[in-house]
Amino acid sequence: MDSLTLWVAILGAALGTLAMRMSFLGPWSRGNFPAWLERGLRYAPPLIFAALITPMIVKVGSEVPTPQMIARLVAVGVTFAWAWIRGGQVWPLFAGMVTLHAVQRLLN
Amino acid sequence: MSSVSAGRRAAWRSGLIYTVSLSPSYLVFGAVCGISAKQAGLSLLQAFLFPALVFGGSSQVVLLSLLLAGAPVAVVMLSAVIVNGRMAIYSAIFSQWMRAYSPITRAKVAPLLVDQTYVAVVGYREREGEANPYWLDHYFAAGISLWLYWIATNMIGYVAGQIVPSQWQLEFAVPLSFVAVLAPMAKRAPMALAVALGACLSLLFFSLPLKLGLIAACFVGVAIMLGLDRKFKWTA
Repeated sequence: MDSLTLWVAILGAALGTLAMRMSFLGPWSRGNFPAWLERGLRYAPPLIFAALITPMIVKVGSEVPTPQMIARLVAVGVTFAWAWIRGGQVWPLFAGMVTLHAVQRLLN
Repeated sequence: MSSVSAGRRAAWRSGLIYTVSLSPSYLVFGAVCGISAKQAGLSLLQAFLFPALVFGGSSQVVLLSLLLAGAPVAVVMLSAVIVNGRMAIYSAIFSQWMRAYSPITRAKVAPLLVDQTYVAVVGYREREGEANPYWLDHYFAAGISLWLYWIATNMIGYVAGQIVPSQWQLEFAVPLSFVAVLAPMAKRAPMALAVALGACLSLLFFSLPLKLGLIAACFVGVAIMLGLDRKFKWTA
């Protein structure tokens, strides 16, 4: 890989990503959107988060659930339940990680 | 006056604690990106500036693997930008929250906009109430510390490779941290439906190349939710 190609790729990706981040935060946008878009934006965060993490949790393509997969699902359940009941970010995460290792040890 | 700065201090502290809670998993993820940078032949300076300027793990991995596969540089750049397309949605949401802020403050928010800093603010507003004026302090504390830490972990990966044993599975803390934010959101039925829809669509579109499945799931999912919303008047 020659250095110039790498620089072009890095700087191009950096500028393009900044454009995405600035798209509604520059002086050209004041945050007043049509009603349908406001409604859509309400649903976007939970939808994106779920779409982002599901492939990290379930290994796509394997038919038999491995002990690791079971442990991961149980860990997700514990984190979900903890955050649902008690709220917070640090403790639900910690509880989930402990569960992950405990269940895996149990199944192996 | 002193109570004002106390609230602000608390917001900064909680932002830093948020970064600390993510630090083990980011150590793994950042190192993965640093290792790929090394494999793709980036110089030390490039490996430093790349995470600093792009600040987006999955787009960095996509860009480097396409470069290694010999894809044309325009395709490489475009794919990385598409992977970061969801940042445009976050910027629209921040834009709604920041109608009363000055153009300069609004623009300052943009460079630190990543999944995790957005998640930090959603969590903060959920806990502290939307009237709490210190959410931006929380955002900048989490964003700046995460950005610095991200560069550091990338450099560690570039120089030293993976230093955390893979049996620890620290990378799994990334999806779990999202689950923690999702759970309180899903208490309202339409939001729970959005979660289920996002999960299903991401699996349906999983085989699309270049992480296009994620962005496809987002747009198709939001379109379906808008249709249902109109029919059942959930938010009317």
